[in-house]
Amino acid sequence: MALPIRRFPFPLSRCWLLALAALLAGCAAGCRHAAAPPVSVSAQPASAVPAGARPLFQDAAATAGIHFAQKNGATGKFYYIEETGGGCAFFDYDNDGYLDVLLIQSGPFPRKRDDADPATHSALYHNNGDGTFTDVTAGSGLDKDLGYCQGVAVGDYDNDGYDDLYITGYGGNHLLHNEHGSGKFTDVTAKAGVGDTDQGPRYATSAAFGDYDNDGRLDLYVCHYGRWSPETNRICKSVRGEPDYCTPDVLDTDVDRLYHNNGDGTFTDVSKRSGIASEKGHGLGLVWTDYDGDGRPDIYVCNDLTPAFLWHNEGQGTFKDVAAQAGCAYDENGQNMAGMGIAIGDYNNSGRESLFVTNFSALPNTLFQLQPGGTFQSMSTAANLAMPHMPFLAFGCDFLDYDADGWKDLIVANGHVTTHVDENAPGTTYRERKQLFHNDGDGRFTEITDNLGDLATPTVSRGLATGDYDNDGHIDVLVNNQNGPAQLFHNDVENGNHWVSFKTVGTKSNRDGYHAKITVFCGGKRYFSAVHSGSSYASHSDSRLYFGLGRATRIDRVEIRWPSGTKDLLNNVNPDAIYIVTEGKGITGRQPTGKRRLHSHDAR
Amino acid sequence: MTVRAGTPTLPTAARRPAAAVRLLAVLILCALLAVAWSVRSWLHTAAIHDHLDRAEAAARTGQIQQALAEWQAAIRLDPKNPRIYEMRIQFCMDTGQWARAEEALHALQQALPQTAHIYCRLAACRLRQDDQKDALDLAKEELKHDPNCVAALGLVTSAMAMQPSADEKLRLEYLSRLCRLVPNDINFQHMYAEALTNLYRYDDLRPVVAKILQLDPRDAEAYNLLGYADLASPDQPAGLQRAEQDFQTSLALNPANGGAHFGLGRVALRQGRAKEAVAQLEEGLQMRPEAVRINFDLSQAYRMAGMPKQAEAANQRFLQWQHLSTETRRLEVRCLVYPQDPRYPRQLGLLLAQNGGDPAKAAYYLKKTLQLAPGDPAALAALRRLQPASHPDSLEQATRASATPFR
Repeated sequence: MALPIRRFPFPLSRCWLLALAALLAGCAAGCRHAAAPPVSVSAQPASAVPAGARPLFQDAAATAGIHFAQKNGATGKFYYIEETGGGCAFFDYDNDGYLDVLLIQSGPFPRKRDDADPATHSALYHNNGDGTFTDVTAGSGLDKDLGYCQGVAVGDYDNDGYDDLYITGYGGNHLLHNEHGSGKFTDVTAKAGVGDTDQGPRYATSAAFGDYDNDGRLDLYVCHYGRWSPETNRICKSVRGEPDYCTPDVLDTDVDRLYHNNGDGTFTDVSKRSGIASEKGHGLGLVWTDYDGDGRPDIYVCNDLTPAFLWHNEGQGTFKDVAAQAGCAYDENGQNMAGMGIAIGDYNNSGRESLFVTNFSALPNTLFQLQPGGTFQSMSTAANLAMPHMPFLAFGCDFLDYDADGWKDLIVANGHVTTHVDENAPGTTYRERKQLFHNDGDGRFTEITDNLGDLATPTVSRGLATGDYDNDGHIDVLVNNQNGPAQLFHNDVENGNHWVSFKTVGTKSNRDGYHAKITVFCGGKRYFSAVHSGSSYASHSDSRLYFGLGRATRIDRVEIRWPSGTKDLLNNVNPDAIYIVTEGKGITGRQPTGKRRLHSHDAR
Repeated sequence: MTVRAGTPTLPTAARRPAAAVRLLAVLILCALLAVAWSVRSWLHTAAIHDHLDRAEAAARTGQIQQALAEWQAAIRLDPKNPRIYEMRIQFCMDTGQWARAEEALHALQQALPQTAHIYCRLAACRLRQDDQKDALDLAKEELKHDPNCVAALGLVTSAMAMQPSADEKLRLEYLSRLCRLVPNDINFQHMYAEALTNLYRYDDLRPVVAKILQLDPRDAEAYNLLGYADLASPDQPAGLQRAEQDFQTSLALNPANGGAHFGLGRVALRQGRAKEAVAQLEEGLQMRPEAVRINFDLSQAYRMAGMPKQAEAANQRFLQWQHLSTETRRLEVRCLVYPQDPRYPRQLGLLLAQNGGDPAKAAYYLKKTLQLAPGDPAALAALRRLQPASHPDSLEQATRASATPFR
């Protein structure tokens, strides 16, 4: 989270000083005066719903029974960690085919661990399958004080068929084992050795599971923001002198952590051995991606005002940062990004997944288009994603084909970190609306500013996850907001487009099928996606792969390449369904689909 | 008329000469006093002029101490005369003696507190000594007294431009005001245009560029700015074509124009014309070697053109610069946040001094280190190596060498 920096592409002349000196020499003789009203600048306004139009997204949280509000615990001491929580997750903990919801709580800081204090609990909501949720936090194991939490990673680390949780925070992370979908999670952090406390308190943000050695067991990467403690915390001043949070320059950078899964419920810290401890940064967002298609998952990490990392998996358990060589370390002007969140997706249907990195206000969000050969080219401006972002400070984000037209669109959750920003920065506000960018199919995006529905409501957003929580074939959005209610945006688009979705189950590969690559061939077109852990900011989106098919009513074939090397070819796949695909077996089941029973707007 | 008994009286005719004598005596006395006052005044003024003449003569020959002593003597003779202060201030500012100019301004402020535009000149002195923070504060103080003081507005905006973090909203507001106060000053229009470019506010930029071109239709830099606006325009690829035209126009107006070559290089890069991108960017860098960041684009162009070795070399140059730039920013922020900690100004001063950074900035932070940690050997050594010409012993010599008539 950085204040704006100089970013004119070329050094500005300092001759202004000389001109001023000349001007000053004559100033005593009388300066010029005139009436000069102040200039006004502002962000492009967005309308919730124009008269007669149906909103694209409506916040269904309250009607669906989600009443969670994140509290960052700010008390005026401007603790740095208050700025960055918290994440959220769409995941199906009981394998009933419907996405459940996890919302991460930060709470007061500092505090004594008090399991009885609900203000410290994250919240788990069970999806009832009818568009409503039930709060099942009590007794789940999440009704414990897990410390000042920031984010969440989801993955079946023990391959027992049920997704487990890894919750990050300041002063210690927690691995919560899913007890076979019973709704109970057991804290196995100590046994697993992933508490992240052995070198003193660390400030962990995003984390994600991935299988870097393709041994079928999920390893774990944890981002660290920097070396911080309440004792060394500083209160800085805003540009107008008010007390404020400091910029990241004040914190020492930190190394991230990589844990190798030993397969017996324990992990080994391989940060040094693997090479990822060779670089320090202000880590915020990460995603596992095999960007060069060599079959070995790599890791992309975006850092705040330090260069991003692209940890190329060199094999033999080692990684090398190649971000600068690959062209994704800096924005398109060669500036450090204040990278918060990452979206990954094949937005141009090239068969390659590009990266999108969110940024601070007055700095462009960056779209790194993956080129053949494993290099990236910044296309932010060409794709029209740089300029519309300028007034906003963005965290969570994801590619989502919200209108199922076969082109992945983009959603961005915004919310500033500087409470006084309304007065200090042109056109920028502390609470900000979300941004939805429609993919025009020609490499460019158009920001949707009309008909946004509740996406237009200004909030201070952090984590964002996408997923079809009611299995109606439309991707919905979950957002965790600072000091405000969480939002569950139901996608209300009704355009008759078709779609298909796949839940991957690995057998030789990791059980979640993370890193599996699916290509759908349909009506002469080709759609590609890989199963990811991580992405967005400190959050986890629906692991099922969703493909919008437009008007196509028939799928020609589907190819699945598993991380183990296994390939599955599916024929006779019908659209508008969610398939369970098992490695080596093809389609082994379907999940329930259909119209949700309770619309957000039905209850209004 | 009644006459009291016992009082001698003179006839009216006899009293007239006596009164006349007395009047005459008074007049003579007055005249003498006037003459004496005039003589004294003349002598006083002559003495002041004498000091001023000697000060001027000393200043012309570079005898700074002598000149300052003469002005001081003149001020002692006439402590409420603003012109003497102004002359001393003017001399110090003209000859770049910013610390002495500050002293003179403070003296003027003490003697004549109502003097206008003291703060903006103090700010100029601070800015010239690379103390951006104080400069900004002083210029802002001036704006409290005179919100439309052009000099203070110019200073505030300049100081803000050099700060690691600044109130961009306020800066744009000031620049906008400046441009409305002095609409025909092309320098201020350029400042405003560059600030808008930095903030990617291309829609606001276009009318400012139009104004610049109205003032000077042959302003090559304005076409460069327009080119960057078109590069970022949402209507690609049409925007790229317009940008190319803008940069070509700029180049036609001023062939020695690194910025236009960079722009043309970027256009070519975006259009996949790798060889042309390489040629343009290389030419631009040759003209403006200080624009190290362009190695970022050049590296991509080399890579696209199938020149991996050159790409790697350019990338290394960029990374080195980027590292220096990031570290500089980090340390600048820390100097602000930890103003009493000598580690950060020392690190920053040494970093800049040893890596070819701005020598004035390096000197400022090294001096700051010495204020916080007197006698710091590393800072002292670096400062000596950095600025032998600015050492007090050689200051007069340097001033004499560059002295220009100041009146």
